[in-house]
Amino acid sequence: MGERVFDSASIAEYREFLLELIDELENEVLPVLSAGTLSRAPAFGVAPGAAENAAVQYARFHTATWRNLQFLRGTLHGMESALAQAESGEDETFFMEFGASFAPNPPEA
Amino acid sequence: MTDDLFAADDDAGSAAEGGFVFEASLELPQFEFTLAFGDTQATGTDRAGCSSGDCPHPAAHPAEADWVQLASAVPVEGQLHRFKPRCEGMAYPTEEDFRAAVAAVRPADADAFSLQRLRSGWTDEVGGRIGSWPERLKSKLAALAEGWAGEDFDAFAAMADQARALAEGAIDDIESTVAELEQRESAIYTLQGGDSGEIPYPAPMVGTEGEWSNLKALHVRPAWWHGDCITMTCEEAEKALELAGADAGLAGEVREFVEEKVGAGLLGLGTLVSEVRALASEEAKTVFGERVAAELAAYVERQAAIDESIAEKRTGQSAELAAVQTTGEDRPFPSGADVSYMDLAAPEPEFPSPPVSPQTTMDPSPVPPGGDGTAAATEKTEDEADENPWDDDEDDGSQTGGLASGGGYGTVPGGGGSLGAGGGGGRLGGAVGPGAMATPQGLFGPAVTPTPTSGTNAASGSRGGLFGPQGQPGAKGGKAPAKDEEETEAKAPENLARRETDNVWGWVAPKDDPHN
Repeated sequence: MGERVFDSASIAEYREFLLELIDELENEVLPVLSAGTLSRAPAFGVAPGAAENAAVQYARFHTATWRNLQFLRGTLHGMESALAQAESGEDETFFMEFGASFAPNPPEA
Repeated sequence: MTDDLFAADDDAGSAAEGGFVFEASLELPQFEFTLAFGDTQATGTDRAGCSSGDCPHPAAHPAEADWVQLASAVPVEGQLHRFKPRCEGMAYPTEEDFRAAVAAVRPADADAFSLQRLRSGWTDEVGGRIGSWPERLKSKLAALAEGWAGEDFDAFAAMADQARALAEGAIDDIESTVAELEQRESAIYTLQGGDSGEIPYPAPMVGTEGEWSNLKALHVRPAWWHGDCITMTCEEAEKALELAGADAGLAGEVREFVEEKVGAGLLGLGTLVSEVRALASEEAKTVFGERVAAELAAYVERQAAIDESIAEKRTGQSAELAAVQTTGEDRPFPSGADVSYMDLAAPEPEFPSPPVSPQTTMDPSPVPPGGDGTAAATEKTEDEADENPWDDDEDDGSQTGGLASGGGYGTVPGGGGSLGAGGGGGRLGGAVGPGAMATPQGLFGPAVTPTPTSGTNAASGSRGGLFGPQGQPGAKGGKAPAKDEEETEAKAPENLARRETDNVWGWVAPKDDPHN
């Protein structure tokens, strides 16, 4: 087991980054698919092949991308709450570890 | 022969209703969308045909369905005004009818549904935003590792890696689908005429009611024409022949021949006019039969060539559509992901509205409409078209009017003549005034308003017209957008022998005309 390192400033900076991604994903990217340019199905026309294949293929891609972006969104939120948890857990850990070893934080300092 | 003027009207009413029923289904989800389109075609077939019992044409042009399928796909933005109809050696729709047909078979707000627009949406609005994420997630995680270590960091890093994998996966799917769409878009665009914008368009059907040598009327029926055909009398046969791309001069020759025979026959006392006529028409058959048959065969060939060209492009498009392949499937996400933030029901897309059957309302013209790109040019062409392809006729009208001797076949629309012939004749007469011809007619205008233009006026007016276009042999050939091999072949000097029988331009200079 590696040495325990925990720098709140690094965590906070990463958290900023995460929130930025989440904001961009939720407010700029996903709306393009649900309400913007990509809310429309392409006009493949009505020649044979369009409804049977092209439209189906495109819809499959659109759906998959939507879902994968939603998975990404849930993952980013999961990461965010993991960070929050790590920080709040750190308070306790820090307290205990502080009591036990007087280890300064950051430990390298 | 139809005696019921209003029968056509009733038919029209029901056809229009059919159209509305269909339009009401525009918002159906896609799987029914195909069915809805089937209905359109059915509407096309059920549309009111010509009420004249002996009309040689079906209600719908045989190439209509293929053309709708060909033109309905929207590969790129701003294509509508780049399109130009291509009807090799035949007659063209007006600018207005053509644009309306393209618009009818394409979805409303077509550009927004074009492959190009969607493709760039994926590239610019999605790919452009998340494209940098994998790299950023990686470098940020590396930075974080400087300030955080331990078991909880390891778990977090694993989650960050999966986030990166998800972003990378989505980007990969987008890139490959965009490349795929771009390829299909370009192929379909090419099949629809590419930068030239030239798309083959069903040429008007031209045929005779009754035998050509004893003509009741000529029926001209453009694609997507509703109700009664545009009918022309024998006196106007040149115009009909010209629309068919045939040798217009033949009409005059036959007419003169018959008039001469009739005139000679009537010199004898006590001869019945009808008998003399019947005899003359039999003689005309013998004398002109071969040429007429050859013209007819050439016409059928020209029709078939255009229809085949449409079918071929449509088939090519179907092959492209059937080959479209995208990537994308659910990718794994970490157990630490917060599913409460996942909105997994994919949004219901807005589907392009299905094609509506076009409706042609204006007379076709041997002169193609323009449509070379810019809006200004289009406007200009429209004006030109409105001023009517036949208006150069006017100048020549007086000089050729003499041929309309009023007698002979010119009496067609009278008595037994179909209502179509009467109405049509009157209408054509109206075309003497510039612009009148191209004025949008109510669908059933011609039949319901049989303008009492007399046969003679109509004849001399429209006859005047015949020689205008004829006087400019280059007009059709020169302006014909296509310069493909067939055409070149048709123009090649070694084919001079074919000029009489297979004369693409329907024109032989008087000095070259062996029958002069």
